[in-house]
Amino acid sequence: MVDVAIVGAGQTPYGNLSLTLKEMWAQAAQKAISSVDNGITTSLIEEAHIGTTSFGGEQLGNTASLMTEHSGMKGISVRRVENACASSGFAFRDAWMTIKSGEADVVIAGGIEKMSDLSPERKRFWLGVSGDTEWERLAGLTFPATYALMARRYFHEFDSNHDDLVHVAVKNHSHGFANEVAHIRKQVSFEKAASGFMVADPLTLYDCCPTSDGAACVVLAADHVARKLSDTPVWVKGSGAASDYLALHDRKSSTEVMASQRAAKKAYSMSGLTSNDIGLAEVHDCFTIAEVMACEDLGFAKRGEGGLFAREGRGIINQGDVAINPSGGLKSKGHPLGSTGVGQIVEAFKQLRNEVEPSRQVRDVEDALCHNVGGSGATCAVHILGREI
Amino acid sequence: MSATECIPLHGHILCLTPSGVLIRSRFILDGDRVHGPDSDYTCLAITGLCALSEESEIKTVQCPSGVDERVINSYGFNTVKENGDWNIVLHKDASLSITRDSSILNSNADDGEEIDGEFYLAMRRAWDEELRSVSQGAYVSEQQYFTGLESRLRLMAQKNGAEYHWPAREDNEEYTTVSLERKGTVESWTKSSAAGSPSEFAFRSPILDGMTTLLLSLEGGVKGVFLLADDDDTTPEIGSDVELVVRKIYAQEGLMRYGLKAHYP
Repeated sequence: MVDVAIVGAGQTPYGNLSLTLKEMWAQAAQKAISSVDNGITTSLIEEAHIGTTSFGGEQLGNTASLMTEHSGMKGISVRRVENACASSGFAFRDAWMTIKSGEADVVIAGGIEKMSDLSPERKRFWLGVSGDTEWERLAGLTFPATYALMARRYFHEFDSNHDDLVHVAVKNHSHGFANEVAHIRKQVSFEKAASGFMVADPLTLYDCCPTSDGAACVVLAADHVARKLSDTPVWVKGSGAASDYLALHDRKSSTEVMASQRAAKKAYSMSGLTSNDIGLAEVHDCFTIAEVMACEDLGFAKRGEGGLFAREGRGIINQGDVAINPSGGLKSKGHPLGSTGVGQIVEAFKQLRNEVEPSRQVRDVEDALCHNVGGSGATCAVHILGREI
Repeated sequence: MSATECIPLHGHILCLTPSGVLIRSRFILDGDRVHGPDSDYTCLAITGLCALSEESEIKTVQCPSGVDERVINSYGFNTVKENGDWNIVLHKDASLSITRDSSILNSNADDGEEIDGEFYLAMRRAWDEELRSVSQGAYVSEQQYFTGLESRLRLMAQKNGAEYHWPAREDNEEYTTVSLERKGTVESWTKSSAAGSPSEFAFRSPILDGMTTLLLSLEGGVKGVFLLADDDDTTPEIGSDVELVVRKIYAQEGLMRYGLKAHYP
């Protein structure tokens, strides 16, 4: 079966952007296309898979055709992919499968979200729409509160406390400080991160990612085309995806994300790699507790030791066992919901090609993992990328 | 028990008499008995009917205007328009009687706790505003609300052998339906900041300084999430036991939505 590589990747900065949906997408797509080593024209692109939650309701239907119309890809086969915050992780997987199936040789995957242009009232109606509306939302839960329930239970079950989450926040802000596309580029001290105002007890401001605008796009190609288009393609070595109960209360455990474990198992199996082989991981740290649990679910830390992993700095670039969120993660780089998954792939692509800012370049990295979660764990896509196939 | 021997029940005050039950709010404002932050006559009526059903058979109950008949039905009591086996009679204050002959039981008692006047009025205004609000995003339709109401109020679960499912799963084909006990143990909890609650609670959350949600372990190992009732300022503890009582959850597009909330007895 055909191997698939990423030959181009680009994204907008993340943040409160003075760009519209169409402008953001056009910028991300143009950067992805122009990053292809040996050049590519949009006429070669056969399919587009674009992830978005269409936050706020702007262009809820047929989003993908509007985007491709504004990026020189008018007329190709397109679809919008929606799996909450994992939308573009799944868009990437769908794009990869399209090539694997033999249906197309060159496909783009992307993601986009515009979140900053809503009134506060409208924003509140849309935040949390990807949780269980009938039961969780009407019990007063939005995502900070849902993850707060997970965090308190985690502290109860394991040798961990809020200080471990503070270590995650400090690390990710430190990593994101040098990232030119990060939403929040500022270092925070342990003391400051420990004293943020309470958002959902026990999670404070510094435990929560920002809501961001942004778009990201990658160009995937079948091996025989990829080797012509790029001197340094990044190979998709493993892809796994899974789902779980939408509502936290329906799951047996509140301190692990089974969808992550299932998706990771598939991706590791396909790639023939284990967590020990991974040099960097972009993990879905929408809240700091999510990174603690992800480090366990992905095999970087033993069950119950994700807090210890953070405390010991084992995820710090070029110091720890594996660089966790060298981009700054959702916490610092930002979280434009539908863009996040492909944004992680863009980061991994650049890291594997030694193209990021030198101060945050992970040394000698051969393989990277991207972990994209929808909601509080209802969906998850995991991808393993490498310099060699 | 005489009318003067009253007990706390579901966060209200219950007086069981030979003629029926008197149920009243525990909140007092300047000498007047007023409804609690998330309670009304419907909530009082359900508590009264629950207590009464322990002592007497309730074949039918006649509900006056001011009590949501559909909620009483969903809780498991048969309502009729007239000639009820039992009759709910609303008092001028936040209390009601449930008797066979529509008589009003004496409610002149000063038991209860004082509620802050400004807080009380702010909450009343917030509920009124909320009732007029229209969704701009996430939404539970009237149809969906009423379809799930029995499960919401009575914790109607599916039982397959030793395994329980609540809320019910649509793909479960062979099961018996059971009503779970309305009590649970705290698995986890959080208090959202005033600005952190879903939009459905946007009017009240700032007045309440945020809202407390509990993840509870229920009968049969099922779990559920529930708000804390009555603006209780108790700090929950993992492992503590709560009972589940009927309260107003939120209002939207002219419809008050009811459900179970957690209450420390």
